[in-house]
Amino acid sequence: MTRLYTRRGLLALAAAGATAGCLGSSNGFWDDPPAFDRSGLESVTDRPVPDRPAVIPVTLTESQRGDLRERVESRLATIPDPLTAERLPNGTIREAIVDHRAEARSALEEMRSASGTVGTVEAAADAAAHAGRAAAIWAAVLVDRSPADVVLTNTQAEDRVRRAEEALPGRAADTQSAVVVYGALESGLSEASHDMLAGGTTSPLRVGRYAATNERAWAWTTAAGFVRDRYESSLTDPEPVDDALEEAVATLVEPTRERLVEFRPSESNEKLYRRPDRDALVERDVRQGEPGMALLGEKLDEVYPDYDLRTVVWSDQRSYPAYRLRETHWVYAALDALETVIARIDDGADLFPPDAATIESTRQEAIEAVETLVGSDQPLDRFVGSRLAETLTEADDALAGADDDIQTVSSAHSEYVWTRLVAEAVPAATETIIAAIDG
Amino acid sequence: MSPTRRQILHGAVPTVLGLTGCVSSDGNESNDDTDPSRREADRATVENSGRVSDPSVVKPRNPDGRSVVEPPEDDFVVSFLIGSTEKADALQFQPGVPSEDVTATREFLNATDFSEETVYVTHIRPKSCYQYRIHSVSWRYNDIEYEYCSELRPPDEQCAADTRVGMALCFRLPAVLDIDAHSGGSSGHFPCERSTTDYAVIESNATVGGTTTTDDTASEDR
Repeated sequence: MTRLYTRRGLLALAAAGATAGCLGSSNGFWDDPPAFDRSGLESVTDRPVPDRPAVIPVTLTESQRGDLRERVESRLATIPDPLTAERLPNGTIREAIVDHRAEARSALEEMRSASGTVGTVEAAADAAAHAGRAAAIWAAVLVDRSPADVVLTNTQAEDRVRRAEEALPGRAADTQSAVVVYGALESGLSEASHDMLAGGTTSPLRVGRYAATNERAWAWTTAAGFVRDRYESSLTDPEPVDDALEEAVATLVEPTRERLVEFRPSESNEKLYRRPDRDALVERDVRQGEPGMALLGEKLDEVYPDYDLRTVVWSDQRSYPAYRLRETHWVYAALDALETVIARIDDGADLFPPDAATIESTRQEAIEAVETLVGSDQPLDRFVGSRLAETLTEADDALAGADDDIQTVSSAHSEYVWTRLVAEAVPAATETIIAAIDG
Repeated sequence: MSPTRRQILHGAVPTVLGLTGCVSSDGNESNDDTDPSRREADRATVENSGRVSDPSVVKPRNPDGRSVVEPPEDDFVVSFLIGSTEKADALQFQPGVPSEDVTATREFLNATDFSEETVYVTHIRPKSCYQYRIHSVSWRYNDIEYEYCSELRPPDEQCAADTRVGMALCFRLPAVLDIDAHSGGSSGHFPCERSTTDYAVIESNATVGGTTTTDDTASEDR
C-alpha cells in the first residue's frame, strides 16, 4: 500500500480545520429532516444588515495606495505575458505562475473597491503575496535570475517584520482604541510572520510559497507604517499606549485562565488552551445531525483557530499586545455564547427552525443586537459589531442561495442564533477589558 | 557462486539485505550498470527475500495515460516478472509510447542476464509533471515493494498540468525469482530530500526548443 506523507497534505488538513466554520460545512445533517414551513422565506432578509463601522478611522492616501500597487505591478512585470508553453514547457510550473498572476490582478481590483482601510490592506497583501509567488517561481527557473532578485529573502522579511513590530503600537486616542487600530495591524504582521519558512529548497513551487509569505510581510510592514502615521496625525492629542497595553495583558492573564477553567472545569492546565472535544461538552444524548451540534462544532473551530487559543493573553508573552487583547475580548464573548448553545442543547433544543417565521424573528433579534454594538461609543463594541455584521451578511448570502436545501437554511438560522448570542455577550467582555486597562 | 533457482525458492541460503545496486536511466545519480564486479556483488547469495538500494531501473512513460507494456500471457495485471530472454523479446509496447522510451527499455532488457537476474515490471500513473526517484526495492515471498520519492520535473520538460501518464517501473533484481509477483506495494514521500534536480535551466530571453514534442521519456525522468 502506498504511503504518501506530504507537507501539502498536512497543510490541506490544517486548512480544512481552519475553514471548518464555513456555512453548511462538515458536521453532518439529518438524512430525513423534520418538516419546514418555508412560507415567507424569500422576505426573511428584507431588513438590511447594519453598516459596518470602520475598524481603522483613517484611510490611506492615494500615494500610499500607489506604493502598495506599484510593488505588485513591478513584480508582475518581471514575468513574460503571455507565458507560453514554448517559453516554459513544464505545464505545472507554467500554470502556477499564470494562476498566481491572475490572482494578484484580481486582488488589485479588490483593493480598488475595498471600503475600509483594513480591507484595502488585506487586498494589497493578497496581491503582493500572489505577485511575489508568481515572480519568484519564474525567477527560480531562469539561469540568469534568482528569486532574491525579485522578492524579499527570508532574512529581509524577518528584519522588516521585526522593525515593524518594534514601531507598534503608535500613539492613540485612548488605550481601547489602540487595541482595535493596532490590533488590526498586529494581526496582519502576525499572519505575515508566523509561517516564515526555512530556505534551502530549489523546487520552484516551494520557492514560490516562501516568496508569498515574504511579500505578504512586505505589504503589511509597509502598510503598518502608513496607517500608524495617518492615525497619529488624525488625532489632536494622541497618547502613548505601550505601557497601558502591556499592563492590561499582564492583568488579564490569570482572569483569562480562570475563565477557561470555568468553561472546562475538569480540564488539565496543559489542555485548557486546546480545542475541546465537541461531544464531551454536551451531557444529553444527541441525535446524529442535530443543527445545534453542528453549530457548536463550527464555532469551536472559530474560537480555537488551529486547535488552540494561541491569540489570547497568557503568561510570558511579549508580542502583539493589542492583537491579543482584541482576541481575548472576542474569546470572552464567544465563551459566553458557547455556554448558552451548550445549555440549550442540554435542555433538549436541536436549533432546527420549524418555519421561515422563526428564522425571520431570530435574524431580527440578531440585527438589533448588532445595531446596539455598532452604535456603541466603545471601540471594542463597534469592532465586534463590524465582525458580526459580516457574519450576518454571509448568512444572508447563504440563505439567498439555499434554494430548497434545508441544511443550508438551517445553518443560516444557526448563524443568526450565534450572532445574537455573541453580540449580547460583548458589553460584559468589553467591561472586562476596560477594567484591565484601567488597572 | 550464484544461487540456483531451487536455492532461492527454498531459502537454503542466508538473506542479504541492503545490496548495492546500479541505477540506469535515472538522472544524475551515479551508476555503473556495466561493472561486472558490482553486478556480481549484487548477485550475492539471496534467498526468497532480499533488498536492493538504488536499484537498476528504467521508467518508460505512456503520455496517453494507459499502461506502457502489455503484460505477458494476456494477464490483466499491473505487475509481473520477466525471467527469460524469450519473455523479454515478446514484450509488447502500447501504441503511443515514445520510441526513445521503447529503445531504452529494450536496451535495459537486453543488458539483463536472465540466468541470474529478473526484471520486475509494475505500472503506476503519476502526474505528468512529476518524476519518481527509486530508493530501493525488496521482495519477500510473493510481495515485491519499492521505496521512492517524487518531485517536480525540470522546467524545460514538456508536460501538462493536472494530467496523469502511464509509467512502467522496470526493476532489475539480482536474483532469479519464480514467484507470483501480482501483489506488492510502495512507500514514498514528496518532495525528494536533497534533490539534485537543476531547475534554473531557462534563459530569460530565449524560447526553449528542446523537449517540446515528447511528453516524457525514460531518459529524461530524473
